[in-house]
Amino acid sequence: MKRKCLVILVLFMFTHFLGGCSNYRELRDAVFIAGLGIDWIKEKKRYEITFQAFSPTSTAGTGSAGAGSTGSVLYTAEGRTISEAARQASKKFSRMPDYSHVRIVVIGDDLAKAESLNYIFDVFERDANIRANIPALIARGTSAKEVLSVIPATEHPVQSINGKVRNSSKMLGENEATEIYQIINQLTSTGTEPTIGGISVITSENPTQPPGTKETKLRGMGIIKEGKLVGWLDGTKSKSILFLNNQMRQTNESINCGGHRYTSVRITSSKSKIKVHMNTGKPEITIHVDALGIVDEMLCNRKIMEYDVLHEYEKKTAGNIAKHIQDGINEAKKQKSDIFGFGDILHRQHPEEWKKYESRWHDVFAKSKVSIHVNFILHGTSMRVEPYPYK
Amino acid sequence: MPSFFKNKKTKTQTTIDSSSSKPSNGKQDETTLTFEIDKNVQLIKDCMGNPPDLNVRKIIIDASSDFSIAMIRMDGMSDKKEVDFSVIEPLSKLNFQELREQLDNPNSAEVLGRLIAVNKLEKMNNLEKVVKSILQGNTAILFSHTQQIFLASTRLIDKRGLSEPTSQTVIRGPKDSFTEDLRTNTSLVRARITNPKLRIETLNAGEITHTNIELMYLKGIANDSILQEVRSRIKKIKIDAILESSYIEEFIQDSKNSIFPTLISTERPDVVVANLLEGRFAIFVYGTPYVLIGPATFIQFFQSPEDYYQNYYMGSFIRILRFVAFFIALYIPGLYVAIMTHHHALIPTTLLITLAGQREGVPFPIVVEALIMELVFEVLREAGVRMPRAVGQTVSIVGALILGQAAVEAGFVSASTVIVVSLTAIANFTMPFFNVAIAARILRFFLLLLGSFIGMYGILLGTFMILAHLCSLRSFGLPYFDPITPFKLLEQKDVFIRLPLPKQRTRPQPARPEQKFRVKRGGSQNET
Repeated sequence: MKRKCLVILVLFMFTHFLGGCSNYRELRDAVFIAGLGIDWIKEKKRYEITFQAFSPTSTAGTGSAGAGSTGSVLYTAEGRTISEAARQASKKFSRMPDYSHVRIVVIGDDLAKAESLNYIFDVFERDANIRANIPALIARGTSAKEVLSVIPATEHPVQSINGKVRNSSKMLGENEATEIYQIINQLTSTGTEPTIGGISVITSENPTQPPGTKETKLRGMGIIKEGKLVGWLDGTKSKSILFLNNQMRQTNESINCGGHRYTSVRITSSKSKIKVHMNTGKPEITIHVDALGIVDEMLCNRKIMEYDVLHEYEKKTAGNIAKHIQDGINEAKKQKSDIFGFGDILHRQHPEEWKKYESRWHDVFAKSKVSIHVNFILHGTSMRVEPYPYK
Repeated sequence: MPSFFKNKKTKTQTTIDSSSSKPSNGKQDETTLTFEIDKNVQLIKDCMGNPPDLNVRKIIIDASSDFSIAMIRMDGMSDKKEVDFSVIEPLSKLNFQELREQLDNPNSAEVLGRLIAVNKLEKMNNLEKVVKSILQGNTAILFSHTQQIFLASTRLIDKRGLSEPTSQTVIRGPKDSFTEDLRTNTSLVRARITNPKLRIETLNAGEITHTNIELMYLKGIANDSILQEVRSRIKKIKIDAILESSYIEEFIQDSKNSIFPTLISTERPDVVVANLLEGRFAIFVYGTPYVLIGPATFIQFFQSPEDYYQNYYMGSFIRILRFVAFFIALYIPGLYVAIMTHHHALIPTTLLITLAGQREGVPFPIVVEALIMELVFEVLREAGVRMPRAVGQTVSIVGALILGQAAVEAGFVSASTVIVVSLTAIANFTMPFFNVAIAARILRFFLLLLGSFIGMYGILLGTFMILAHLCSLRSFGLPYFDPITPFKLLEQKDVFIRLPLPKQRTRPQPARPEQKFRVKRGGSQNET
């Protein structure tokens, strides 16, 4: 019996080593990195990493934590690899950095344009301590460091950026949070190219802030080709990505109803179907979009009860949607970057054909013929039917 | 006992137990009793060391022929009134000539029995037995010129009345509970099962205390082989004293080193009745209101009698809640420490920031902090039990205010640890049987340490060890984790949820009852 107990005890002690990555770390010995910025320093040919961390002391001491603002701390470090920079940063950190709560990765403009994006994401997949489902953004016309240095009045900078991405993709449908694992998938696939949202720094117009205060704003979706940023889809053009990826949750379209007056239509759901086939060396892309929506604001006095008026609105909205998609595709064709993944669709639908064109798909895509069919149905006029009878 | 006089006559007629009174055994070898009454009295006195509570009353019936009667009883153990009116009075009025004749008669006990109006009259001539009988509260009646001693059962011990259960309370359901008196306890069960199949067997244990133990079961439902095993296990107990049923429990349980209880102890008669009907046995021990029930399964410790008295939706909900509470009581401190020290990625970011802020000013590692708070709570709890009632208020004030709030404000511990510890403490009190809560209380520390060493991996390791142990346990040879392992689908009707009683037609099988059905075919109103 004693012998048995001893054996069990020894075996049990061995299990401690099987655990492998035991990483006992007290919360007060760790600094939690919320956002990572990756810049390329041309002169030194090095990466500059910006760490935007949660300030550990901002809520300390008080029993009732969680009040309002959470402080942030910014560190930078350089290195030939991202990991090297992270190790270099330990000269500046008083605590062990913890990457498990990284919420955003910002890529500097220079890095995206001049250097390749192909390599920098490896560490996110390889390292166990960081996640691969973090949304990435490109600092448009500025560096990642600048973007992360903007400290909003009420929130942590990373929470603020994250909130903007989420909000915009949900409410407006012009920005999509492309996560790192998706970018890696798209970078490695020959039939599709990634798009990464852009963020730029503007001067705040908020009167409660001192003049000259900076603020971040999402701007467009960056078109990536072979790992490099080649152009931007701006404004309504970027809606094409969400429409074609079936990611559109809500957006609105302004329909002209005479003169400078517009009616707003809210698109509540949309579903697209894409068919790609080759016709004498040219891809023919057929897009069907079925969308539903409601009228949510009328600035003109039209009899919306009448079928003709309703039908006219439906047709105009459908036309708008088709135009957004067409514009987006045209821009992509111009950059010769298949950001919509038509290549992948061809691959799935006609694998034999795909093999013939795979190697020169970019050029083939640029010559593609696109036909867009949008079927839009208005299924409501919100709380009112006719506008109030103004004089 | 005012009713005593009314029933005087019927009692004398019906309850004289002459058959069980032992006929004088022919050997008379060890007997040291003499034919002289004074010597016999002295013998008995000496045997007990002439204690002050030994009451000797001597009546001289006929001085000329030196005929006298002596009555010896223990004061406080016997009914004084009964001795006065049923023993002394009839004897003192007796014609001594007649009496002398009768005493020589071999059926003297029967003859005397007609006179002495007590429950039971026995004839003995063995000093040791007489002394033992006196110590049990009986009155010894000695006559001159005879070796025979008559023992009238006059036992009456002060006992407290029935009261509400203190540790196993319910909202709806019977409010009576067992007392220290064995006979009261068995009567509470008998009153609920008026069936001749309810059997009680007397067993004794305690070399010095000679404590009365009674084994109760329902014949035809309880499994005979299990009963056989229980009898033999109780007979094997060789200990000087049995002060509580836990003494028996420790001797007869299958696994003597397990932290989990393998016998149920309850102070509720309805629990005993329900278990007897499921084919289990109950062991009553004199001097304790806690009755043992076996064989037990782990699931039974989560079954409160109230589950069956309330609507079955509620019963099932509360039972699931109880399992969750057990899980909380067992795991939360361990998980808390594991996640806070090893798995920061598992905490939602906003919560992490809050927690990190709280931890900022705290001097100790989180394990130490959690251990301190857990131990402090255990101390508070123990103090609460031992503390005199009058100062009971102090504990709650000291515990809640000083330790809870001030410790956080002073930066000794973080607020989150206090929350975790108090959640654990509260969850621990949801167990209907507190001995399974004790297991959770101790294993919690084990899991806490494992979690702090190797994080979630340790918690999982601990879980496997506990589960393996639970599955290996046996209660009277029957699997403790029945019916989860070995899994029986039909037995799940009363495990995590409680099905309506008409649907639970078969008796639960863990105790291997001899009778299968408890709701007769057509006995449920729902079936047509």
